Amino acid sequence: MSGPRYHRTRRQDQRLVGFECQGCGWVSFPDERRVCKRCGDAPADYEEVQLADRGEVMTFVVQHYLPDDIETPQPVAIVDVPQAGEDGPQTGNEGGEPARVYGLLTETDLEDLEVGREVEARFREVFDEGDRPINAIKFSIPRGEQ
Amino acid sequence: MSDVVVIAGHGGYVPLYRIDRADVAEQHGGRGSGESAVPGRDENHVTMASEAAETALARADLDGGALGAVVSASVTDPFAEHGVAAHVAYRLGATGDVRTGDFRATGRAATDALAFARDFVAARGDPALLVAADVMPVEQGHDDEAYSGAGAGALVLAPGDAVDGPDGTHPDGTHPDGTDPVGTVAGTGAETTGFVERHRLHGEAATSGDGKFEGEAGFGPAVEAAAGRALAAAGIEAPDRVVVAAHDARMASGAASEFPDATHDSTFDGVGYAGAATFALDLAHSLESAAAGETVLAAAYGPGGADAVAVEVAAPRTDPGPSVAELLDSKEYVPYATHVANRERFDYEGVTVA
Ligand SMILES: [Zn+2]
Repeated sequence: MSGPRYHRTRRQDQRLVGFECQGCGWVSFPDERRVCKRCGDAPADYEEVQLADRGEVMTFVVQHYLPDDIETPQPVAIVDVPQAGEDGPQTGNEGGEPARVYGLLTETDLEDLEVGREVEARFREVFDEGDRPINAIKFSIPRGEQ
Repeated sequence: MSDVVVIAGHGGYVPLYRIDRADVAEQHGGRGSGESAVPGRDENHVTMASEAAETALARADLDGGALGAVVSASVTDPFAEHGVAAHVAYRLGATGDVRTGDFRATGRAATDALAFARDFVAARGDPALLVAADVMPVEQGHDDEAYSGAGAGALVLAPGDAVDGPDGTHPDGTHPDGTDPVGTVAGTGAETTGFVERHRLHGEAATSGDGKFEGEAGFGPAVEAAAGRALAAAGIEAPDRVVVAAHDARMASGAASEFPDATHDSTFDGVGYAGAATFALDLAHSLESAAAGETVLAAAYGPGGADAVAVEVAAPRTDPGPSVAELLDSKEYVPYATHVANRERFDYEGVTVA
């Protein structure tokens, strides 16, 4: 599919859909890569998997110097998001691997942020395209747990 | 298929941020009590509506793909063309042969959308989602400034016989225990007056005109007639709980006091007036607060008239959360400048398409 990236990956960005390699279990996100990054299968055989709405911060950086129109400090994190299980969105799918998701954090105080912290997927505006807001998943420390 | 329509799920959304009304009053001299909700810089109508919709769908135990219609209500959607309903539908996975529609231009847009959704469910037998989201604009120093709110609410309507039918299944078969719905839409009523005193241009603060005159000739008779019709249709003499959504909190309280024994459920002191969203948010709050067997009368007024709906509560629920009460408690105060800036559409100058 062609077109701008925000259109091509809108299902992944808006609904947290990932692609599980049937050869080795690695989950590709957001792009359905032709070659599996882990086992090298090409073309890899992917199955679509729904990701859960909470994940764990693996690492993060805090950006302090950005153009004026971006709120600073702006934390950016690598979040491992488990697959949504049969028993409900919070249950990791037995045996399935989490997807490694690169995401912006919103509504999160830096003091509360640490590696291993559970964060929740939030549907937010990430940038605009002309006048049009482009919404996608960000993460925040769950509201009420801050 | 019976034409009984139930509320299968409900959800509210209140942004994290608040402005203390005393801080608004301080800018211009005067006093204020209570607080109003301020959206985050990365929130918009679609994101707020989606938050409320996810809660409502989770409580209904429905996937977005089971929906036959998604309708939205808003009086502040900044776009002349773009819409809210289709974007919320996509986010929820309600794509394909799904009816979408955006109701606007009056505070009664939420009840117009609810009446449409009710009729859609009765006619088609598919569940429908109603979302309402608003960010009221502010004009510094305007009378409404301290009360300009933001938020969203959502309701999932479903056919009654699909919930407690012979096989006890949900429309999409995901709810095998056949639990009771939140409540039944027992009656609806409307009154179109055509009368307009309050009005507002896009992105600007409202011109309220003669409030006393509007109360006597517009709001009062419209709400009374619509509420009377909804209660008569439902066979309810006196409701246990009342919701009245209107731009003027005193008018709303006045109408609620017509039912002296009823509890008046309102988020006004914590959210302010959030346009069409106030109706859906306050109704969600009321349904979360109600006990099984109680009745709720909910009305919305706006330019053109009023509508009302009577709900018989069967199985109120606050899980999965968050409840409106929890959202009201979870908050951060922001300074005056943020309250003004965050209600404007944000420009990411220099940020190009990823
Ligand atoms: Zn592989």
